[in-house]
Amino acid sequence: MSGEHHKELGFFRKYVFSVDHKVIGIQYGITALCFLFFGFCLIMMIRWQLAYPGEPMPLIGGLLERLMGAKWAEEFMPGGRMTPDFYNALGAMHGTIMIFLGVVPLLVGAFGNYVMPLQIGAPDMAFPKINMASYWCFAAGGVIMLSSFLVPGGAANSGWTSYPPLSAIAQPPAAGWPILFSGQTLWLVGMVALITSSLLGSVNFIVTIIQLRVKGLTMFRLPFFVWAQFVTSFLLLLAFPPLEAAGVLQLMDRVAGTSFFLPEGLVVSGQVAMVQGREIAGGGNPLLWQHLFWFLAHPEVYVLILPAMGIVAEIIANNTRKPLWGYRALVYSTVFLGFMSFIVWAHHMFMTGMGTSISAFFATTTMIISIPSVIILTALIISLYNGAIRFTTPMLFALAFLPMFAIGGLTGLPLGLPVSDIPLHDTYYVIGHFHYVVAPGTILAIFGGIYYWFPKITGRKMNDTLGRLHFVFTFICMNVVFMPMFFQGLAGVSRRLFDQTQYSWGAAVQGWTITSSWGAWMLGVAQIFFFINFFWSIWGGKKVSNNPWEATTIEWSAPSPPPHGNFATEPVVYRGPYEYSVPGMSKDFFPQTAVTEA
Amino acid sequence: MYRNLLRMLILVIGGCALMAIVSPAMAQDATAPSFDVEITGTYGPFLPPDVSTTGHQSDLLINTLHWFMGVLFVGWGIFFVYCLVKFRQRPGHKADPKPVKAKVSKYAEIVVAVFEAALLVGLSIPVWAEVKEGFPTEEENPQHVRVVAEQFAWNFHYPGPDGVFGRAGPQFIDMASNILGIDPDDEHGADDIVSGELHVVAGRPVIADVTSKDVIHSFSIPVLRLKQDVIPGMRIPVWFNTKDDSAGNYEVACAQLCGNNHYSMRALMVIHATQSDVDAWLESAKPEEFDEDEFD
Amino acid sequence: MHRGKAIVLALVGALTMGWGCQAMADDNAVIKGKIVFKGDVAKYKRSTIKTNKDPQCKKSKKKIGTYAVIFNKKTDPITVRNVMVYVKDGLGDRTYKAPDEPVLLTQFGCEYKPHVFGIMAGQTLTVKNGDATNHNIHFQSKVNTQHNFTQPKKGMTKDLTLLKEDTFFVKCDVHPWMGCHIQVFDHPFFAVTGKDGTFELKGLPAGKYTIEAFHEKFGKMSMTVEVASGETKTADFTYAP
Repeated sequence: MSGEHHKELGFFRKYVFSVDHKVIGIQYGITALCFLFFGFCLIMMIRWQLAYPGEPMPLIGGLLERLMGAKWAEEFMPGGRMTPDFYNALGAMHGTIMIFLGVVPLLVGAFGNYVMPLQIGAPDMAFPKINMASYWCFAAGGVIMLSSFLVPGGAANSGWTSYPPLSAIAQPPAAGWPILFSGQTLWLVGMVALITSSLLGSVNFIVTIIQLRVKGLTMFRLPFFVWAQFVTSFLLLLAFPPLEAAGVLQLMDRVAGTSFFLPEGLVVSGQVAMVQGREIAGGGNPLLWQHLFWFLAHPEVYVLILPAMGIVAEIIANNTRKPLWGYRALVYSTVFLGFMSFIVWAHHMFMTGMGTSISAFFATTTMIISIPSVIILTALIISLYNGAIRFTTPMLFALAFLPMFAIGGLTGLPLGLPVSDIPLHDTYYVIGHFHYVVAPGTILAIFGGIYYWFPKITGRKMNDTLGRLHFVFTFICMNVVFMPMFFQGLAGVSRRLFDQTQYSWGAAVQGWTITSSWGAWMLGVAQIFFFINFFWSIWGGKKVSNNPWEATTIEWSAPSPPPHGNFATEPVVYRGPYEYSVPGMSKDFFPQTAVTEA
Repeated sequence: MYRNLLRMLILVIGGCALMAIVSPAMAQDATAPSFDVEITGTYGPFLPPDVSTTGHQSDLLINTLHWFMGVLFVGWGIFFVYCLVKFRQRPGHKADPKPVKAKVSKYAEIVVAVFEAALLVGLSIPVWAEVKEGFPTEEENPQHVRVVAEQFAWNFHYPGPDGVFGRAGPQFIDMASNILGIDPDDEHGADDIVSGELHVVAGRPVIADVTSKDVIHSFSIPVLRLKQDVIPGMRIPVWFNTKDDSAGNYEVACAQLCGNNHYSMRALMVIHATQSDVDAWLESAKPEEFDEDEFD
Repeated sequence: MHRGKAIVLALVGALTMGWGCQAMADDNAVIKGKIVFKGDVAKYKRSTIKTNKDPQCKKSKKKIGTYAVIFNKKTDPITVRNVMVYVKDGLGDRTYKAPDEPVLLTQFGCEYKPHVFGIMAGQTLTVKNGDATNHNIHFQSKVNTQHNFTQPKKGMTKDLTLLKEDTFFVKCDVHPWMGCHIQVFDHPFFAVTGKDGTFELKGLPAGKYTIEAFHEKFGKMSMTVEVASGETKTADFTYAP
């Protein structure tokens, strides 16, 4: 179990093809942060088109032409003006990259990989090589996704949901190009790689959490973050296979002439629809894809939020200097949430021609699933009561998460009830809703997590002033970006419109669109504080002790950064995760591994 | 810590002010939508006008929910801010690890659950049954129309005086003269009218069968609180009725990404005051002979 | 350095032109004719297209008509417009270079201009939007790249090249009635009938050719014509559906 048996490894085995969970966690983290930034760049370009439809993009238009060449610019941004195809590609890839290449790898791949084994006192993951395979599958998926920007026709442009028949007939490969080299096909191949990566990771997480907990660490002594990772892994394990299957089926529809999702009698542009130069056989059902897709994609929402809640819970317990309120309620709610998330998927499909009984079922499950979310949020807010709140940088992010997640969660209610969903479905209201959950929600939590565990990873603390500036501007800008979307959505503006001013209701709220766009660009500028802070602190940050936050969980008893094998001696756990401010003690924290106060 | 809080507050307010100054300065006039008629009603940051007989129910639900959400959020918010101020770390203040007995939160959760259940059972389910399945009977004399979506146009198929739709098949499609592929040998089809505009009468219920020629679209008329995904391979009936005083021009939108020109998939819906106006329009929409000598 | 390059270029140019003139001097046979219609003209009435949505579609004319069958009723006999006539066979293994000047396809008043046209493989096709409305250009080709792009603004242009011999339809998906036929050739011997219903294939080398006529509604028709050097022959086609 301990680290003394390891031998010195070469550079590549140590830093590139490493099996150490910490190195893999950092690899995941850096890659995913790059993708997160890339996905954000895509949306900043989209915001230009939305705010000033058809106007040539200043600076970036010319820069892209320099960077990608005149031929590329002619196809996608002639004269610096975005084409609708490119707009759709940016939208689809923004969604895909943010979810599958940014946020999930950060929450699960990076934080899960790095922190979870430390928090259970394990020297590594249960299957280190599978862990490495998981990362490299993810990297391959990412490269495939990125490369799709370079094939003729550009990256996938049928939305991140890729609904057939559109996704089946869209982007036929250009003359002279191999069958796989079209954006949508590459998207499917990339997705299969990414899903494989998640499946490998989730098995590993589950086994590690069950098998590798140190002595004394019972399930109810696990930090809430580990619980969140545990439930998340089950979601990934059980929800992703249907989408993997669906992805392969759609790939077959595109390249092998099958018709899993294609009905007969399709007429495109006045001609019988063709895929790969063959008439479609027909007999499939486009709704089948939607069911398979949302069977993944709804639990995926909880994959995006549960680990974020875990991070927030850790930070709140540590910075209120008291135990989390209702720890067991939190755990039970999380497990229940995970279970329920499998039977709400069709609320994404209320408009597909659903009868009363089916819609009533899914509306009911949706209302039920809101209850544990309310319990978790309430528990986290009540945890503040009677605390001694330290406004450290991670705590600011964690605190901001609470109202932001509340807005995101509450605005889910009108979408979850089928009748109020009718005017709001597929409008900006939906965009506002889920972005409040994942952007001001999850991404604030991710930043909080980075500030919180940075000292463990590097042995240095990130700068507080820069951190606060980063927080304030990020928090404001996020709200400037997403709050107008609710008004746009109520006004009736559909999502995914290249030029919403075509509609009177779109033209009427165009001012809000412009505000939102400026918010997005300002948000981009605000991240400069983070970039500087992050890179400067790696080498120049203030050196701190192994436990700078005076925290109780096990990872803080390891050296910073932890060596290969993590702990010099195998730790033993004597108590629950959040023993803060225990009466009668001189210090206000009592680590899980400490035998006595001394 | 107080000073820090104050600094933060100043930063937040300053930032907001900056954004408020910058963003409207960059505003520009929105392009006017290109129909050759004026669109009726005013549109803005809240729900668009409602000209349907059923839409007030979804509006009621949306408004109620937003009040409910507002109350919850403000309630949470007050407690949240109170905690942040009252329990900030300061000399002489220590955390109390004893869990509080939070009866209020339990009651709040129960209230939330009961309220959601009441809205679901009392409003959502019955209204859904009405708007999606409560089709008008033939006694109510509904107008029948087929809605055929395609990349990137809405086609409306009116049955003509005989009230029967002509048979249609893909083999008859000619994009210039027979866009829906109506069988020229079918006698029911001879009087059919196909147009890119939807014309209905105020106060007369409409039953529309929506289908798609190619990909998934979504038949969305915000002023009617109507939205129905159009699934190729399926024929989905929808119904709506308009208010008696709703005559005017409105927009039909596509609400589901259907390809590169999804945003252009916009059609005109005209609500006429009387049936004779619709009949006159239908007469004018019939194909007429094109005299090339006149136009060449 | 620059002067050297220029001299080489000039030499190459002179040689090419000399060879070109040589070839042109020999290839001077002409095949011409007209496309006659025999049948019930009333059966193929054009009808007005309802462009009800978009005011841009009314700007050039008050109305636009269906385009599939257009007769020249003033000619005697009645001839057919928009028939593509081309050398189908008989050029052997001669190869021809595509001209440098582009072929222009304009969208104006929600119609494609021209409605039927030919282009040589490798020649530039410039697609232009002359309307202040959104047009989509969808190539329904099975051999060449299926370009499918959008020109939302007036004055936008895009240059394309088609690489293989092909016949296909082009559509605007926003204005479903808009369509045009493009035929891609690897030789320059093609013509489209206009308001007089005639065609002329010029500059042919002496030889025996299969000439084909294609009309989108009436289909294909072909005949064999033999021309000697410098000779002009007439080949009339008659559609009698």
